[in-house]
Amino acid sequence: MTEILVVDDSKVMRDMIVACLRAIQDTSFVHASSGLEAIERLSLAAFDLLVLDLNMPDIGGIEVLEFVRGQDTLRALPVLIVTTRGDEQSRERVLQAGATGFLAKPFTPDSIIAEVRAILADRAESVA
Amino acid sequence: MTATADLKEFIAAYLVEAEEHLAVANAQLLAVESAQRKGETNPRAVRETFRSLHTIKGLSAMVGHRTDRRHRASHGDVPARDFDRSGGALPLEAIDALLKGVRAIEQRVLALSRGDSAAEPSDELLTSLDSLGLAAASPAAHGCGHARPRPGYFGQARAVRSRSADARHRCRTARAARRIQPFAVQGRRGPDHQLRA
Repeated sequence: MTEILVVDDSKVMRDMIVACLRAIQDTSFVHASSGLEAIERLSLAAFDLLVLDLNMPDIGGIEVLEFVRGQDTLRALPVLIVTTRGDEQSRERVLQAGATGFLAKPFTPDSIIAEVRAILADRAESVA
Repeated sequence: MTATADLKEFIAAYLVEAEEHLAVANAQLLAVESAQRKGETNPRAVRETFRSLHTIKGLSAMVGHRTDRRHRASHGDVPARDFDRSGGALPLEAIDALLKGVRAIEQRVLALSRGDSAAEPSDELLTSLDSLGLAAASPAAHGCGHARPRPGYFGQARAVRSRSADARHRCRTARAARRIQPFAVQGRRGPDHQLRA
């Protein structure tokens, strides 16, 4: 079973992401509504993918990403950034901070499914 | 394989959440205005305004609202970094234009909830947002589908983002990390549970 942590302060957006990714079989989802809650959940359980918004209350997505990349036990976790900040500068910034993928909102179900499948396939290859 | 999701099914939930964010944006803009009239700044209120407007923008686009220039202006599209880095102080005319913009979004959301077609945002509103450097320019001109901020108050404000702002970001992350220490799982997190410098 593939475990995905979906982090966005908007419940509707989290539900949309999960609705899209349900097309990927054998996948379960955990929600987090803030950066702090994401860090708490990452500390409590192992995940195969983190889908992360940038613009959140308390600590933002970039800070969560930096936290993940700074932890020995989390460093290899793939992180897909999903954000309304779709400009090239934001894209470069998050990729430099260690994001595995970047997807601008609005996205289509097909585009996020393709992105997540590619990331999970890469992860499976690197683990094998 | 499961059928592809139809995101239009989320319109009812979108309407509820959009109304919540509009209420937040209104309240925070009034807090910014109140601070401004006292000669103070309110960075948190500016940040929360920006966050709410951007959430509305993202949700609106996801449920299929048009996002051309006219509609972006009425769905909370403001140059994120410029707004975010205004230092917590907005000129009163900017606050006034933003409050009118929020009102325009409210009217559109209300119309959508009733199944009506909403009135287009007025040229006057678009012009007032344009003059502040908030409204979006033609995406095609920028080449990446995103608005290029125009010169103006927010463009100037960007330059004053200080090292201390970055330091505050780092401190916030460090504080959060300290708060989650009790949650650390033995074996999953080593004793070197530290933030990267």
